Amino acid sequence: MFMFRRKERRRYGRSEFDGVPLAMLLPGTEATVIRVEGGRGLVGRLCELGFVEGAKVRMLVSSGSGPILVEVKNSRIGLGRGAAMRVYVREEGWQ
Amino acid sequence: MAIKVAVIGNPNVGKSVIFNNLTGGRAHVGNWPGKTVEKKTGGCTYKGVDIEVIDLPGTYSLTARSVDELVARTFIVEEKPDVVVDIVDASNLERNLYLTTQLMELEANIVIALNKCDLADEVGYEIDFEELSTLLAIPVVPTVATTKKGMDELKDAIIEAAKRQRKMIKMSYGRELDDLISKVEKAILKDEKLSSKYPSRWLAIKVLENDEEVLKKVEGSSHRDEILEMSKAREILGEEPEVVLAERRYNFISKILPKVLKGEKAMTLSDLLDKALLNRALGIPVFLALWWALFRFTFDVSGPLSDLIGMSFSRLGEIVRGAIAHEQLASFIADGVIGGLGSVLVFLPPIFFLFIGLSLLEDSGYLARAAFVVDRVMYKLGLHGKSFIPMLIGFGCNIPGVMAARTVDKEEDRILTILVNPLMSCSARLPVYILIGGAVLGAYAAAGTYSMYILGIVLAVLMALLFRRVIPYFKGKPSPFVLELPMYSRPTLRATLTHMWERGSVFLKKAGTIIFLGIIVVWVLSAYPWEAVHVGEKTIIEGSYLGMLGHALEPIFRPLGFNWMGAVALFFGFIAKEIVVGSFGVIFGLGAEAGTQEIQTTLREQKIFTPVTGLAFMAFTLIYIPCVATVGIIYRETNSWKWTIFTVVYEIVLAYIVSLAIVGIGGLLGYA
Amino acid sequence: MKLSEGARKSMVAYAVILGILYIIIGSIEFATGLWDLLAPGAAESILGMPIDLFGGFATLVIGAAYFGAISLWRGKYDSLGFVFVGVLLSVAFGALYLFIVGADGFGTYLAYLDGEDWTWEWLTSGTAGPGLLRPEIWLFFASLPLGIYALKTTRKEKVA
Repeated sequence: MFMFRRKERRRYGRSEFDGVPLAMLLPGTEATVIRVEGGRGLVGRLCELGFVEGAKVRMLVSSGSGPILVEVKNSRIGLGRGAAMRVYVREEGWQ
Repeated sequence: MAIKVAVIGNPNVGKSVIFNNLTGGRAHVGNWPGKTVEKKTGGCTYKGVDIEVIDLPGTYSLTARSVDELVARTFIVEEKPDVVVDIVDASNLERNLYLTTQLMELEANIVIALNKCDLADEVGYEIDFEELSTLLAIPVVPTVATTKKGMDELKDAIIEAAKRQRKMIKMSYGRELDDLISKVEKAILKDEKLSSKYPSRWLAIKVLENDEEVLKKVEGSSHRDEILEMSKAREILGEEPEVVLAERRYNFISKILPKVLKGEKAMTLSDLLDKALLNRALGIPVFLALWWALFRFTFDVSGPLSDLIGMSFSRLGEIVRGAIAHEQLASFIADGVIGGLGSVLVFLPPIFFLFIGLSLLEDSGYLARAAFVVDRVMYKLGLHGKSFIPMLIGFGCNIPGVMAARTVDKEEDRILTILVNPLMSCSARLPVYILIGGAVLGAYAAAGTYSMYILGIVLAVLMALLFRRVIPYFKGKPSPFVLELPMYSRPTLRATLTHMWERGSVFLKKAGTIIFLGIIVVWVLSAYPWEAVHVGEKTIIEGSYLGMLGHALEPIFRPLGFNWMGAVALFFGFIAKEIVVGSFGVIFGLGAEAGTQEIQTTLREQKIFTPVTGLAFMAFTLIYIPCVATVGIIYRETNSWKWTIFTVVYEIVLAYIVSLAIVGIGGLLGYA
Repeated sequence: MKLSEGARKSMVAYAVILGILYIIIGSIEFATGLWDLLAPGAAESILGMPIDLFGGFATLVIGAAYFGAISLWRGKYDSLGFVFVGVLLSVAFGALYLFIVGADGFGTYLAYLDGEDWTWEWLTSGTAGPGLLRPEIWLFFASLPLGIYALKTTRKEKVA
């Protein structure tokens, strides 16, 4: 019963070599989500907010070491650096 | 027969407004059984039909991951409400529909209230709600909750939906997954107990998602092995199933969306405001400035109202004392009862003003920005960004502060927030600083008071860091910050006052009763044995039980420079910090209603405190155990004696150490 | 966003002037506040400005916000946000000090009921420093036109 409770780092998505962490985008940049890494709780929460493969995101506010603000599924979500480093995206205009 | 209606939706969609509209503002507030999640129920009668409305927690989804979601899900699945009203924010359609898809999986009888249509309009969207209704096979009612537009139509739709049996559509998750779901569903259908109680397709989906709660239910099933065997095939998806399912639900939404939503979101006022308010340099200073404004508003503007209440009760006390012949009874009613009531009610204005301010900040949407902006700092201090709101509230009163910790998701972060909350100098401690500071610190009284607030914050930070390092339960970093920043909106007077009342009345009920009872106890202990205390015209407190108590406690406090009077005052500060000043008044025989000036003069004349010991006393008041009411709330929110006792113990120890340090350092520096 | 160049530039000028005023006043209030904290009783009010440590800080913040509008001069429309924030903050503090003056008045009334003499002192001296003469109140009134104008221009843009 408790085997379902293990906190495993899960990866999902096509190629694992694509994409940069969301945290590294500059404000104003648009990108597409490739994959999300992390413990089950975080991944679940990010998914339900719209950070799923193929979702379009736009970086709104990002500076220094504080949390970032992104637009996803037409709403504004604040993400701490920790979470932002776990969302991998492909910038628009890049192949 | 009443129709049972559940109301659900994402956070910030206007659920409370719609709930209030449906129930006419009269709601019964309680808790879901065994949980700290708030439950609101109410009702109305419309066109002859009785409607019972239950407010479910605001949530983005219905997984088994958080208490809020479980409570909502369990209610829908087990209580089977006749109708579930899903409140969808029209200005944020895509993500809001995610919850809708989960409700569809639950096979709930849904009516969608498409709220904030005015906002969607402003932003530039055009929504074809009829088409949406057709595509989802769910009635959709456009509403603008703040102007009550669409409310009648919503009630009509609810009644209509309750009557007919809804024809539901089945969402497709892609061929592979659909096949898998059917296979698992077939296995589940074989277990009659399970499939009669819960929607079988929903169970199948949840099993595939590794949903903890559902898997537990399946464990107990007669067909457990078969079901689990079927579900093993989820491996073919190659990826984390929960994520795949989320993706497929959004796919479904993406297919519908273009048919239903037209228009582009223009740059809004909200975006502009965020450029400045979330600016790296300006963000925190703006927050500090607004916090200062909140404080000034809370204390300075409410001041005269508190005075008015104090005055009225004094007058009343005098009148009553004159009117009753029996000496003891007169004292009991005038000093005890009326004095007690007065002491509690005097604190009402600042508390309510604080909550007005907080409601304004919250309803406008700013508070989320503030959490965002302080997260950078809070994270380094071992606290979660969302912890700061409870701490901010704690400066008004620790009780709602501790309760506000519910917004922090991870249990460890939440408990840590609760543990350090009492170090936030609540408004009840301020009169003590003013009293002692004014009496012995002379011109530095203001500085002394500021330093108490800063000391509280510094200690809270140190304790948070310490606990994170030292206590295994808290080891690790705070959970990642994930917070939606809603669009800014103009707070309405009605909503602000409603929030203010909701929160303030909690203080009134909980703290009020305890403080009141506490004062009665003080009165009793200070007035008896009657003859020893009342010698002729004078009141000699030292002869009372209170005095005896003080002398018994004195040895503990002597190293800190407090005498039996300080000991007594601190003892009663445990009951309620508001009583400390009154205790001094009683001790000096001036009566509990004595003015601050009087007490200060007496303090100086009798040399009760020196500047150093006075400061130490202020620090002790700040740090030592929170008032009884707060302790009670801590127990309720943490659900554990362990943490409650820990809080009490660590605070007494810390208080002693800090006060001793102050006295020690003061001695070294030459101030006796 | 379409804003005529002239309109844009005059908004920036107005905002920057307000910003400078707020910063000067805030600095004075903050400095005298600090002086008073470290040497109580010794501090003297400069130019009649209130001695207010945290209040001065807040006023400085408002000034800084208005200053942020500078990049609007070159056409960076995002900076309009700084104008709005500056206006909102000046409204918040202007209203706050007005409320405090009102509370002082109410307090005076209560004292009067209690037997003391009625005075009009609370209008110019009280919990908010120089009462109605408090600079933040006047700057609040000065900020209103800017705020209203800024709102009007952004409203016009929204209808797509």
